[in-house]
Amino acid sequence: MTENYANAHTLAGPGRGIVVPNPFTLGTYRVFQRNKDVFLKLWKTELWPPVVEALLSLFAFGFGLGVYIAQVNGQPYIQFIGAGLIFSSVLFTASFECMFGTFIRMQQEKVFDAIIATPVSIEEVVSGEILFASTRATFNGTCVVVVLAVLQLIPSWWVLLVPPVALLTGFLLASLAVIVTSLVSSFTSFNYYITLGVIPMQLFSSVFFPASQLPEGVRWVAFLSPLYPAVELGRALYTGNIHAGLLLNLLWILGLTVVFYLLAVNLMRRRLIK
Amino acid sequence: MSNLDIKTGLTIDTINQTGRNVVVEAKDLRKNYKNFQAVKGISFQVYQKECFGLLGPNGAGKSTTIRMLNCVSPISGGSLTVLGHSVTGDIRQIKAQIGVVPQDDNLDVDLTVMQNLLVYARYFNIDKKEATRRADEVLELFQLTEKRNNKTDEISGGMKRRLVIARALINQPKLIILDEPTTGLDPAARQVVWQQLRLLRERGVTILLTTHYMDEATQLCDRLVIINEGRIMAEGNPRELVQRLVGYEVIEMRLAEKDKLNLLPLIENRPILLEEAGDTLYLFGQHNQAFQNLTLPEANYRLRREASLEDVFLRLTGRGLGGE
Repeated sequence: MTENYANAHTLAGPGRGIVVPNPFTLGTYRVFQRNKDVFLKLWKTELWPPVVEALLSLFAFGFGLGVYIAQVNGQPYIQFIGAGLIFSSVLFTASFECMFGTFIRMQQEKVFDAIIATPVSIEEVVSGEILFASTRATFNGTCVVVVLAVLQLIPSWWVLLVPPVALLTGFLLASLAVIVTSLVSSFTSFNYYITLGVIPMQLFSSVFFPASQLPEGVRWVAFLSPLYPAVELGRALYTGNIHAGLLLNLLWILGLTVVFYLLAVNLMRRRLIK
Repeated sequence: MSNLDIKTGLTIDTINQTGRNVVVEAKDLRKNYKNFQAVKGISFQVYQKECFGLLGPNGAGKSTTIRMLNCVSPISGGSLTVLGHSVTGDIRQIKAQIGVVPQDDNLDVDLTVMQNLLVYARYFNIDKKEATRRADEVLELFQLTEKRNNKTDEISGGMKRRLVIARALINQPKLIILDEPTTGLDPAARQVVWQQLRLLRERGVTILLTTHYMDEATQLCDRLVIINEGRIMAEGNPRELVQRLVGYEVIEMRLAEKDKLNLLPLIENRPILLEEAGDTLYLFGQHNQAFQNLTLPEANYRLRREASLEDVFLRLTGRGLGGE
């Protein structure tokens, strides 16, 4: 029975030290499936909000604010904000799922304890959580794309590459949220990360306006934001403005993802394995 | 009888001197936390098809030991072997073959009774058809079939407990490990759980449980160890332990200070042991006629009863199990 599990985890069991887990194992998928099953039971309350949110935001920013701002960098504002909103949605979905969702499952429902009593390891639990959050984030981000498509606001076929970028970005941001969750003792501590992490990321990562508009002294804030390279890459794909420089964005996202994922898994291990 | 592990070519079960298969073996097992040692070098063996108990007050190190057995907490010293595998080795092999019943019910509250079992079975890579068959079987066994489509927050505490035990059987474990299986249940629900556990033992499942209830240990355990402050104080069959360490009968009483002195000459030449815990005196009759023709001073409270495991604990530690 257990042979089916890839033997990728050299340190699957309790033990000290740093682990470098493989995020793509059958055990990870089992945890993903568990979260998916619960999510789909609640589909009536979970599936429509991203679509409605996308419509509301596009309406408010595009047709409201957009009247005053004709173009940004030669692009109609509604298209500019549309691309931004895709990744804003990814940011919020991934972050909240791996803050509140993960915390409830870990601390209140003791789901993690139940799972690690089976052949599934703690690394796989954490990876499954992150994978599920990033999938949800991709779904919500893609809802925005679909709404944009329906409104005939998609300028390029390159947009088909936006969901994979959203998935990677979701993985990155979910890992970051798991790091936060591994450190907090209660819900209220999430306020620090929301106010000082999530909101600034949304505001200063070129979602609503280009980061280049920021005063020079604070422009570095945007470049620190892990969301910034994703928005830049995503928007370029959305508009079809493809150039070699985008590879740098991709590499930067990939690098951050690896670092945050390793930190997330190891910090969670430290918290849960005593 | 020993099963041959095809992969390694080693025999899974070691056989001890008495010729019984050893399912769990702890040798000088230790667990250190930052500021204290929770388990201070304990050794014990659990044999196949028996019900083995870890008995002790809260904070004795029972749950810590269980967490090490379940391979979710690393050991700090000594050795621990479960079903022939060291807990420092390939723990997936161990986890695949044990059933774990935690102290708190950690059921999936968003799922139904049946879905809880199916999702859990999936962690063991049991295919859906087989999982459904086994789930039906354990639900039947634990009299939960009627509730299969209920959400878990719609069933009673006793039923939740039974469901957690049923869930632990879904991978057809060779060993089932229960941490305080009846804590928090009402007397009727406890009886039902005990009945189920006896049924499992009859079916040949090896059971290891912790408890701080004397009656539970007496009802269920073939053998047990008494743990206090991370150390084993005694080991044996519950009845034999009581007779060896306490005797047959016990008189417990509360006396005024001045009467205490008068008591000593009365019991001096009899096979009676005297123990004081809190405000209560305990007289342990080591012979079945120890109390014959004994006249005791007037007491506010006096009770004569059969000796129990509680008395064993009292004699070993000088305090009761219930608390400080």
